[in-house]
Amino acid sequence: MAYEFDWTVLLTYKQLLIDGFMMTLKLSIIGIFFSFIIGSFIGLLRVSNNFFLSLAGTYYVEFFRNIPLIVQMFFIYFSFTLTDAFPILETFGNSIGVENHNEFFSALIALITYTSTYVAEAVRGGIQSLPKGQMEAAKTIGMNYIQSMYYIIFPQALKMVWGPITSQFLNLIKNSSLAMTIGVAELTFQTQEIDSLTFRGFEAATAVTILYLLLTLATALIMSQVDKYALIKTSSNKGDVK
Amino acid sequence: MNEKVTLYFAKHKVLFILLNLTYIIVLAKAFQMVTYPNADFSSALTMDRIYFMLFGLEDQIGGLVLTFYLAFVAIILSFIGGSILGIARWTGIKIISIPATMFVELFRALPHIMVIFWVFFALPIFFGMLFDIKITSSALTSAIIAFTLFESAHIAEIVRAGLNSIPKGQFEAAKTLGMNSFQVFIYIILPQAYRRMIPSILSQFVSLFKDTSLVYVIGVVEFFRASTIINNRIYMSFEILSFIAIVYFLCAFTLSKIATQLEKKVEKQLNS
Repeated sequence: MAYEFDWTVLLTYKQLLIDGFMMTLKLSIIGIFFSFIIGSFIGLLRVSNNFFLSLAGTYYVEFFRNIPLIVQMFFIYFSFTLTDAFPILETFGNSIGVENHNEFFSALIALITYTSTYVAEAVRGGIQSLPKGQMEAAKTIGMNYIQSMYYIIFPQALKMVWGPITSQFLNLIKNSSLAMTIGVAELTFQTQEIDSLTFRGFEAATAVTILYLLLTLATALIMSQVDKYALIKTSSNKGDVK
Repeated sequence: MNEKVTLYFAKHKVLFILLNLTYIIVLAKAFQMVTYPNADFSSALTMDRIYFMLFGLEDQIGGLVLTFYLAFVAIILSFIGGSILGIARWTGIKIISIPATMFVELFRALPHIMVIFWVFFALPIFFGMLFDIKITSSALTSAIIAFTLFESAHIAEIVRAGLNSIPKGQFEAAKTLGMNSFQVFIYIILPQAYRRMIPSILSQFVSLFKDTSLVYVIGVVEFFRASTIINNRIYMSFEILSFIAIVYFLCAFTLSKIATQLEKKVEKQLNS
């Protein structure tokens, strides 16, 4: 049995693909933003000197890392009505052009909690890999704990673990495809949509695969540019030390 | 004060575990009271439902057992595949390393759920085109193939890193003993590299274990699918989903703790 390719189906249903791409983009950008902030915060908690703060950080990381993402999404989506509990999500959702608020925010929150644990672990690893003298030196010139964290330790640690953090962000983009299981109309969902409309899942899947590749490549490129121009230069990149 | 607390708990590990357990139970109860006060666990989780979620139907394998079965079969197959790919990339011979690199990069860049869809829907068509036969694939086989594909790509990277971590002196020393390149590789490099890889592969197994929940989308009745089947019937999602979250957490947490312990042990052996 030969399979006849018919690529025109992509042109006919291009609006579906564009909508799906935009939805994936929204999930990814908001997810990356918040998982970075929350992940850094939890990572700082975990290296804190206070026993109970670091225990709280450990709880967060171990709990959300060891439950599969799809279970977290289902748990949030089926057990709670987010927009009832937090009406502000509705205004936020309207402002970024999302229609199904509950589905979107359930997926988003699950993505953020899941990815932030990995970011937290990366940040913790970076901070712990720095020599202790950095903190002591910062203390000597009169900075308090928060200042030395903010000005001395954290920027260096971030530079060091930018690679692992990038790959976690790429994972977030890939994992956003799971949102289709609770009915967020993102790229993978649109593949199924085109497949059920035209029975041409093969072509749609090819197109979506290429779109995902483009998205991850673009993200990796942006992150490496950020690394090059926005992050501080430390002695670890040897080219800069003259 | 903090050093005192840390030291105290380092001495009394049982006390530490008990304290943690109390914390967790109190936190979980508080969470449930705040968010879902009228949860009814005893009527949602009857014995036969738990049995179905853990072991599946009586005459076929399913539930949590199938999850573990999937994870084990897939990790063994992808260990073989990943070793081949990783070694192919490591050799640097262009004719085999470039296809291996392309394979690895492609499957690392694709969402896992897309790979599962591809294998389930497109692979039969593809093979039908190639060999002019009609193939019907079962969901379980597709799931195993899909896991093997993307997990080999991940393990290939671990294998390559492990091989790269072997110092060059090892080659030279073995060559001096009169071994040829093949012998050096089989007897000297590979055993050392594998010993360093074991912790990473175990933590990859944990992530594979979590990923098995994705085959929900093609209808393999493993743990997650089984619980959603029950949830669709009785619609007590809070109770059912907390149960599966707890079971997943316990399994993955234990496995990842074992991986960490093993990592420490290997590091100690390497340093001594």
